[in-house]
Amino acid sequence: MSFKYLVSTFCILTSVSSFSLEQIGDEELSSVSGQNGVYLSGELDFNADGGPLASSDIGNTDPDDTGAMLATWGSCAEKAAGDVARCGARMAVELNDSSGWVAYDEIKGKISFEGLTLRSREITATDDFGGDEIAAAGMTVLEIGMPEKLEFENFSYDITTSNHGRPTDTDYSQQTRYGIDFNGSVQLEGNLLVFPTGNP
Amino acid sequence: MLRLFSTLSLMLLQCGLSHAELADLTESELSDVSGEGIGLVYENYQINMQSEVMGGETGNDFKITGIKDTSAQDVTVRIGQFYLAGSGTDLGTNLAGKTVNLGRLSNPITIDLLDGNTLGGGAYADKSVLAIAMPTQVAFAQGYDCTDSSQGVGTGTCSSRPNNADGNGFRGERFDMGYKINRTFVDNAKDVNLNFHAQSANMDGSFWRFWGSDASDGVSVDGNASADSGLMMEAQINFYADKLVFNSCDLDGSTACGEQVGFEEFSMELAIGSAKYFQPLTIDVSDSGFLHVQIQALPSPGDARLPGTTKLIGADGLVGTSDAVTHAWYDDYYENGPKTNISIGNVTVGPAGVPESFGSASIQGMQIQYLEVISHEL
Repeated sequence: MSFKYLVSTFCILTSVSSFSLEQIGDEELSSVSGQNGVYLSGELDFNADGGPLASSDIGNTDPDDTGAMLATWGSCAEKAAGDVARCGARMAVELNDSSGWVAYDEIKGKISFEGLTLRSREITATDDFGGDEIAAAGMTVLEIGMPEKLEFENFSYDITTSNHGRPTDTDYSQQTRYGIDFNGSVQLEGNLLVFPTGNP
Repeated sequence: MLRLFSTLSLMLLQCGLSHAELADLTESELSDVSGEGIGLVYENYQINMQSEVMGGETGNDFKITGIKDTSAQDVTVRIGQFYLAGSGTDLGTNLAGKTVNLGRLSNPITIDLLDGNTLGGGAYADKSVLAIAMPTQVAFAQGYDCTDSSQGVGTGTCSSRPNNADGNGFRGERFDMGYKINRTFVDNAKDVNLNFHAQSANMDGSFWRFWGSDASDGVSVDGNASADSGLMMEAQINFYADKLVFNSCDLDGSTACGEQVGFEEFSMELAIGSAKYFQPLTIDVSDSGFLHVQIQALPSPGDARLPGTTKLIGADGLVGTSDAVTHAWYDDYYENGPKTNISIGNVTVGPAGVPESFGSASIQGMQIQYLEVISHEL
């Protein structure tokens, strides 16, 4: 059936039909409990295979052009063998136009969570916000339910400052401020409520 | 596809089935709508990170790396425990059921883009300012004492309420927070545990503001003569606590602890940078990758950015020999400029439970005219 026929049939059906859309009464509405939430579990794995460049990629040169090192970036196995300097992701920000960069460097490892929930929630007078719920009753908020556990597996990064954005740039020089290396789980409880607010 | 939907919608309207119509919003409904920023409230919140050696789950190990001792050997810093929970956790040992709200529905944590033309007396003219703010401080009649968690309403300017404020049975908005840190050296004999705990704390009135400047604003972030464009910051960091506790225990986090230093009724109000007085905080990285943090210098008399005609201050510093407008500007800076205050109601030292009291200590009204911090290689 072509689209035109479909349209005509639809119009005739709706016009002729003895059924029409009717408003739902308050009583009927009160029995409707929309499942409006989302339950999320997830896993983020950074640079499991090293990178972001392979040691053979063009332009991925030995950082100081001396010694036996093959390239700046490569796989983590190559880094362990001393053939490359890096195998983690890098996120760098230039804070001003005087050429300095601050970076999350050598980001590697896994973060996973189970049971992050997202739902729309109406604050009611029966909630307990120590009395604030009375004035806020009826306000709709986005409720982000914290996952019970946030798991880290060999998750590590360094905070560095450097003179250029890319480690493959000429005369690249950086200083590592500190880093983290997390293994294990962090316990979380509670909800984060997000809502619009006025301009103070 | 879009056409199909529009055709169908048009048909439905023509078929005359819809009873809905657009209605005007009333004045009272409109007055409620002012959404521009985002409000955040953490409800019933707790976070706990605990390493295996301190009683956490098997395999838990949270390391901070990149720190070296004076002989350039690695120092491994391990977070034995980090917690943020409701008050009454007994230095992080009793977390079950101790949750907290951070921010109130009526006074939440906010993330907002502010109009620079309405802020700071023209200091951010024609800029957009990103502001992240903790709950604001409130009028005395509605507020709570910022440090003493036993006080009820009408005793201070903090909006965050202590646990069971005025006997309302509510968990409140003040948190217990603590770090237990183990530092291990190549030479094990030097290993040490250090702990920091804050009890019934809040950060009301704190804010962080970020904006971008260009060369025409005359700020040099790298210390040379030419102005740069870049990220500028201004912050007010308030931290109030009923008590801060510092101590050192065995590396396994057991209760075998030494004597503790306590700061009762601790109040810290750090003013960092100020757009209004041409003193933003700037962060720069030098050519060798070293960090360079500055609170820009207060303009000296004669500086072109100052108000006034000659913009000069007389040698005797009195208004009679100075440009009156410029003199008034400096007067305003010393009178109303951002000031850092730190006060401790009572310093205690000694075993937990029976410490010796050393009385109160405070720093009031400190103003930073210039700050420069540069990192160097050891």
